[in-house]
This record gives sequence, structure tokens and C-alpha cells, in this order.
Amino acid sequence: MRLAVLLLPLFLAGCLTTPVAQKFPEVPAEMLVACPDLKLIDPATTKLSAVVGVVASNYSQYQECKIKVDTWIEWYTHQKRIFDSIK
Amino acid sequence: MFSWLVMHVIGALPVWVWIVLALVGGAGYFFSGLIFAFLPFLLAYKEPFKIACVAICLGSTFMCGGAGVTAIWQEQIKEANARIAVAEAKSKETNIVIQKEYVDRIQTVKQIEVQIQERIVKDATKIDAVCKVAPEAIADLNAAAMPRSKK
Repeated sequence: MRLAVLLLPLFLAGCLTTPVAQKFPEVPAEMLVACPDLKLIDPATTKLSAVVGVVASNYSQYQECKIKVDTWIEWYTHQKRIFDSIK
Repeated sequence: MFSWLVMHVIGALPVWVWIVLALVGGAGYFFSGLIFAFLPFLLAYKEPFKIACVAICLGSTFMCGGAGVTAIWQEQIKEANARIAVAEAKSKETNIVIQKEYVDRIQTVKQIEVQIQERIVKDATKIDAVCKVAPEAIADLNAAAMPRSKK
């Protein structure tokens, strides 16, 4: 009986998890700027060069936004891989 | 405040104190018969002594286990923090690379746009000589360029 009582402490055990917070990284500030609307052509103009100028400018705008989206995807993929690697 | 102080003092005690106390409590309980054989005038306190010994043994073993768990926990926190620090450094490094690449690519697009706009200005006479744009074409293009979704 005495030995049985002395064995009781062996059942006094507990478990804990480590409360370490992991922050998801900040994105570069440039990428947080929203894409602007496309430029509109002056309705009063009849010059094709003015139209071509605005259209070309809008193409450039699209290229910039495409780069931004591609960079977002690349950033997220890289950061998620790093974030998941430490779990 | 008082409880924090007590916990701090208890937490600061080395593990061996709890081991010794548990052993002393266990030994006290186990050898209580022998102890009180030498001290017959204290025989009335034998049962309370045994209960106290069991309580000390259990409490000290609990604290000993707690100290062990806390040590493992602290070690895990240290390891996790080290892993997080490495990940944060990698993340910052990646951010710098991506940011630089992004800025370079945008700069290239802007440079090309400037060149194209210069070419359009240069070719404006030729472009405008051949064609006169109808207002309907401009209206259609503007309609196509208008934002189409509402937030």
C-alpha cells in the first residue's frame, strides 16, 4: 500500500504547447498602390495621333499592372514557402 | 502582485530542491513507523505527519515535473524563436530582391512608354495626314476604357 502511494506521483504529468507568435511579413509599399483607371481620350479631338497616344499610354498602364500582379503572386508564393517552412 | 511574487520565487528555485523535498516527503511517509518508534511522545502526530509527508511528496513531484516541462517549453520557445528569426531574415531578403526586381521592371516599362510617346509625337504629322477619327470611335474606345466593376 505504501509503495502504491509512492507510485502516485508518477501520474502527475502535464503537457504544454509553445505560444510563439509568427507574423506574416509586410509587403513592399510600392505594391500596395492600386492600379489607376485607364486614361480616356479627349472626345473633342479628331487626331488619330492623340488617340494612339492615349491607347499606347493605356497599354503601358496595363503592363505596369501586369507586373504588379505577377510580383504579388511571386511575393506571396515565396513568403508562404518561407512561412510554412518553420511550422 | 503577491501571487506573481510567489510564482516568481517558486519558479526561481532549482529543480533539485523539489527532488530533495519529494524524496524527503516519501522517506518520511515510508519510514514514519521507524521515526515514531524513536519518538514515542509524538505518536499522536503520526497520522498528520504521514498526511503531510504524502502532501509534500506529491506537491514536490508536481513542481519537479512542472519545472521539467517549463525547461522543455523554454527550450522549444528558444528554438521556435530562432527559426522565426531565420525566416524573418529570409523574408526580408526576399522582399528586397522582389522589390528591386519590381522597381526595375516598372522603370523599363516607363522608359519604353516615353520612347513610344516620343515616336508618336514625331510621327503625328504622318498619322494625322491619313486618317481623321470619327467621334463615335472615340466614344467607343472611352466606353471600353471605363471601369466596369463597382466596389
